[in-house]
Amino acid sequence: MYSGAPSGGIAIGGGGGGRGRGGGRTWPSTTSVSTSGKRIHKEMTELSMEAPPDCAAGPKGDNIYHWVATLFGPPGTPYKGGIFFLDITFPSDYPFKPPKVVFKTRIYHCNVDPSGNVSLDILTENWSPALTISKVLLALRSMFTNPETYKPVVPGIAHLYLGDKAKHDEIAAQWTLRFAR
Amino acid sequence: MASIVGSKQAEQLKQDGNHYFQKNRFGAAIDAYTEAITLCPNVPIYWTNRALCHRRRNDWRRVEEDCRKAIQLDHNSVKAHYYLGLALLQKEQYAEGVRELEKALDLGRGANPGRYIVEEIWEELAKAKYMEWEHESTRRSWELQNLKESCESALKETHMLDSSQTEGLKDENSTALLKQLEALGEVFMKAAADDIPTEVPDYLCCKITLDIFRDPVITPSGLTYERAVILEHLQKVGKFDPITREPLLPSQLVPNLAIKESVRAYLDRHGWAYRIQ
Repeated sequence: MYSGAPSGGIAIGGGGGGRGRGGGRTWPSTTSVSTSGKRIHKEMTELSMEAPPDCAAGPKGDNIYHWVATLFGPPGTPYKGGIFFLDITFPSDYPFKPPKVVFKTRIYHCNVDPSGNVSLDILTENWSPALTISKVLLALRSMFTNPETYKPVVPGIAHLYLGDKAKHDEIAAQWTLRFAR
Repeated sequence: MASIVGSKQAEQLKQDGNHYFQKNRFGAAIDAYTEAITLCPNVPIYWTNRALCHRRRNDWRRVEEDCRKAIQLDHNSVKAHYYLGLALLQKEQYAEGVRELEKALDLGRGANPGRYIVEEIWEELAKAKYMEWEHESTRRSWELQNLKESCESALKETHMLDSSQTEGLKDENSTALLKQLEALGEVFMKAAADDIPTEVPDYLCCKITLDIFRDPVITPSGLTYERAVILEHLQKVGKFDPITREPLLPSQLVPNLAIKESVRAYLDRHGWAYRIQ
């Protein structure tokens, strides 16, 4: 349980069970793991009590750092009727780093690349530790309704969306039917 | 001259002690620290390090002795107050133990709010408080239950007396009794409400930890965060307020004493909120 070292006074550093920061970058400090674990637990409880509309998310198995989420394509969009699965991976220094979100279901969308990687500002440069998975799911949901066409990862889809929305929606609906049902 | 040599030797003995400690050789470590103490009895760290060895051996009486000595030498020693608190809790000197842990927590936060030991002290304190709540709430609920039963039977007795005197009003009387019993039930439910674990209100929780505040600080945007995590955010993510995204520097954080007091008041009434997941 307790692994702290006695006080070093001058020379001795962190000592104990690898509590010190900054040593090996790949090894998260004990503090941050427990912080992230606690925070993820809290989010889990909150989501189980009230999830955002048309969304569900929770751990895949025993590892609470790996979640799977489900989004239902909202009505009024070419994604309606589709069920989209996403993998969510929490970094060990969550919430100071954003979670990684990947579509496992293929989707025709200018902000999702062919491997399923989502380009969403709040998941990269605009991440804030005050954001939660619940808020990320809401953002993904609004991405269905309003694609971000200024900074697309698939420019072709964005062009079509802006130039011929009917055609875009037709293809997106076809993909939804093919891959998300 | 002799004292300089002595203190050098004592310092070496402490290093030896630390070395033994890390190898879990607590007996050898205690001997080394004891020798260091004999040479230089006025260095508080020698006492707290020895106390830690006693702690690992569950020798709580000696933990207490060494910590008290260390506090005499340095009344701001975080570890001395911390281990002393644990020793007192072991002796079931509950209030004193909690007081020492709180003192250790205040001192530890002042020095470095992100240190692992602060988290550890908090956990020990929360554990002690939670156990106290469990104990007290069981007693309270037992007392309430007894009182409720007495009140119920008193009401029923009155009802029996009334109905034997006034004949023909039986139905009316029993409806009145049922209503009274129901009202009584509600009164007792309200009396027990504080002891029923629910959700801590959002305004007492940090938007980053999603947990009840321990050491809340307020930003110029008027938002309150847990000190250790907002500092970590400023260091790791960027110099901005996580919610408003206004520029923010560590020096702009100010303790939010009003929230701290509210948390304290809330925890005093709802001890279950000390539970750590």
